[in-house]
Amino acid sequence: MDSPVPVVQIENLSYAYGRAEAVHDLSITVRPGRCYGLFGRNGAGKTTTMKCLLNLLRPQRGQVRIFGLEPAKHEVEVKRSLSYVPDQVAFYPWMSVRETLDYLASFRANWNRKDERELLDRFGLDATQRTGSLSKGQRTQVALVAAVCPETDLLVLDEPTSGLDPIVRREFIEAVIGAYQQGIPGHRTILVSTHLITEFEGLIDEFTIIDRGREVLTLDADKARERYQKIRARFAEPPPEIDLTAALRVRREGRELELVVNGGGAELMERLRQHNPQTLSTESLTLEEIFVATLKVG
Amino acid sequence: MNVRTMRFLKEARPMLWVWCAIALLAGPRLMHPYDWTLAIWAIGYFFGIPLLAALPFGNEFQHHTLSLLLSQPVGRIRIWGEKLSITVVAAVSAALGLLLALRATSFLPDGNETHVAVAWIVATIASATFWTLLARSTVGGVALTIVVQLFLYLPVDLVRWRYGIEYLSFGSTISIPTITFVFLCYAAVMLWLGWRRLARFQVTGGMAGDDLLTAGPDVMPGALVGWLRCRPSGQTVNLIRKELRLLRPVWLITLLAFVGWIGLTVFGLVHERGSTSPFTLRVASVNWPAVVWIVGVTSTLIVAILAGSLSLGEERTSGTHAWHMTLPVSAARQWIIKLLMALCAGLVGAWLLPILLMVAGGSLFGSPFKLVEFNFGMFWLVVVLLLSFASFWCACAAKGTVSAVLWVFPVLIALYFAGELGKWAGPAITDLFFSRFDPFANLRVANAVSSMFETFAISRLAFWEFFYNRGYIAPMVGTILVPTLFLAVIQSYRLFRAQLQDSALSLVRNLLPLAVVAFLCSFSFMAFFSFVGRSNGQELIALFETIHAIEKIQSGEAKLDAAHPLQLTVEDLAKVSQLSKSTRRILGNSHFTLALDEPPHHGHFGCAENPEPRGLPTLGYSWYSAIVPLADGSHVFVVFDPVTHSTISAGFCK
Repeated sequence: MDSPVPVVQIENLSYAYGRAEAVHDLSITVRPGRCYGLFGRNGAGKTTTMKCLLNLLRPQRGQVRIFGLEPAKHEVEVKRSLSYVPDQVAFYPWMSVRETLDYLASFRANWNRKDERELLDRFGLDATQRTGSLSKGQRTQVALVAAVCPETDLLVLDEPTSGLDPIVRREFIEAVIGAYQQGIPGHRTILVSTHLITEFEGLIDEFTIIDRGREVLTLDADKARERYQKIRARFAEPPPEIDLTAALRVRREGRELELVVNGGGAELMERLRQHNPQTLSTESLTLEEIFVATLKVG
Repeated sequence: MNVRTMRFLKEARPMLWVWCAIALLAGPRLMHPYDWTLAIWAIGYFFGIPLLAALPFGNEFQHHTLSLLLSQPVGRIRIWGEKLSITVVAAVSAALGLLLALRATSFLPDGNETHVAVAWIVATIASATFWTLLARSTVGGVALTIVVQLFLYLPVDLVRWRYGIEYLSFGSTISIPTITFVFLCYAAVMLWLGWRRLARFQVTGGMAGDDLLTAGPDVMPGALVGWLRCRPSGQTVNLIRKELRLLRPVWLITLLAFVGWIGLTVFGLVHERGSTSPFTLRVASVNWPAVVWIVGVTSTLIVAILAGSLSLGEERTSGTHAWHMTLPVSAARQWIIKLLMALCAGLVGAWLLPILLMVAGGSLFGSPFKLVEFNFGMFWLVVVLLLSFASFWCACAAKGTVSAVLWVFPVLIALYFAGELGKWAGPAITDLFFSRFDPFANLRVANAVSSMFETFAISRLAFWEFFYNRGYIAPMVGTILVPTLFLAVIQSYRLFRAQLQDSALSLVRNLLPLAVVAFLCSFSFMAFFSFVGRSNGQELIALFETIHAIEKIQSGEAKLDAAHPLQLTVEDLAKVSQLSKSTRRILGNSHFTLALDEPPHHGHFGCAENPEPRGLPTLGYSWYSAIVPLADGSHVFVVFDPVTHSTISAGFCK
């Protein structure tokens, strides 16, 4: 945690496909041991950012560093320190699951065979089956096994749960990701891009929401839950006219008033209390709700 | 635009480029009616048209759009009908174009050959749908369409040959009713099977994992499969093993081509022996060079092109290439392994095996190079390596095997024309320069430039011989090829690691620097030679005119007295022969001395600057020499052989 070198450091990253700008002036810092979420809608620029990190795309502006190294200059060192699960998993169809994992293991200095066996069992994968006959979800499972077994310091996941059934998804997030991070607590880092935020709710330490390639919000998850609150007030009569410009979202329904606030919740509660509501409650927003609230306002 | 037109346009669009490529393959035949252009033509006809026929469904597999298409509220029979209609239009028009190109070059196919050609097209169009749906890829569809038709052809031909039914010339070696009947029956059955296959088609996966060629049942021997199986260690060996497996279709085609080469070698040897047995007489009646060109060149081209493009093309299509870029092994190592494996596969499949076979066959009958000359073998090697590299470059610059294969010839033709443009522009620009400003009017400048030749150790006469005997072609090709290849290698690495946009414009943009380099190299080479040639040209013309005049005055040794050399002036020469203005300017007020001379046998001759004049006189006793002084102070030492009327110039001496 005290390491001066961030695991991932993106500074003013910009990338465009022809005239279409995919990422614009994006800056992100991921510290060691954290699970960092990159949230955004489809086409927000998450995959492009990931590809720039992996040197699959060369940043047109700005800088990308992993463990303080530039992926373009220290290609192999950078890739040695991370595992990646792409959004679209592809394997050689003639290889069996066993051969695919052996093939991938040959590129790694370390490969945890015990974890591999356990994960194959957990996912119910047949090692002798050809990858060409696996379903999309099963291919993702093989990719996840291949990403976890090298025990790298950074796990980069691009929409990792797409195609997985709910049981495997839960299994993967709770058991696999949890176990991965606990392998060396405070050391192993995860960078995950997803729009299925609820799935990662309990794991995310910090996140950035991007929209149309631009950073909209970067926050520590706990701080975000503190700041983003939902206030519900129920009045005896229709809600009074109060200055609610500080609220992100206001919903009036009959005698009920629902507000979403980004900070300043206590002050707003105090103001509402002055109008003698029948009930007044507050609760933290989930990360998904924060995501929706942020982008709807944006 | 109505819905149906829109759907037809959607089908036609991806076929347009292939259609254009096939049309281009007819071009060389129109320009040069030689055997090798017939081979290029044959590629268009026997491989291009099956490709056109396989594309409508092959493209759906390549872009993973078949499930989307079949889920639309349109009957499968209508989808099949629309795709078949557009295939018929494209394939028939392309075939007509190719046949007309053949006809335009005085190759007039008789009725039998026309029947074979039509039967091939009908069978191709009818069967391509079935085979593409079975193989679940364009490449697989094309391969199966061609291979099955060849195997259909061979037994019919064997039966006919065994019973001696109607032997005709090459291209119509089958009795027409038989071939028409067999191929039409085959076409009807395949048409029905294709429709049935589509009607019952099950989309079992979204990725390229269903491709029969890459994922199909393994027919390799167990030991080989065991060796090719990736191990948990040894990343470089694993990368090589993976490449060998990816190139499986190339090995299969190589095997088929090898069988063809065995047949060709046997035919060639029998042909060479000139035996009079019934078998050899039949073989001898085959148009041997045409068979070699068509089978040999076609298989060479296909193996070399697929070797270069298949591995990377398939990886780009399936997405495994991008995945490999994230593995902890440098992109440079992956690139070099892939490039070397592509070149090796091309080398082994398209060059080494046929050469070994022919050398072995030749050795059995006395001379290893009986069937293939050494120089031709080396030329073949260079062509195979260049083709494999060109297709590798295309696979780096385009997305997918089919795109890469389709781009190989347009890219090579574009580079050829860029080089030709430079070859034309070099002398043209030099001429334009000299028409405005002639620096060689000053003899000092002319001499200074001419001495550049001596720096390059090329004598003036050697230059002209070099130029007029087209000896410049080899160095020119080298001058163009080496820098262009160097850039292409660097570019291929850059493109290998890049995420590509699937567009023709992007490929053209990458091709542009190569074309510019080819143009500039060719332009510089020709401009340099043209420029220096100009400096020599005037002096050489002056020399030729002087020699001509001297020969008119002195036509033999009899008139010369060894003790008293003959003295001539420019005016003396002008009286017997016309001297041009520039010759007069160069000669100035020179006096020429003609004397009997000793014939040189070895060593220095003329002057120290030109120790090795080209050619030697035929007779040693009957010749004389002249010293031609020039206005700039230099002189030319010329030796005349009056018997043969040949001259030797010692060159321009200080």
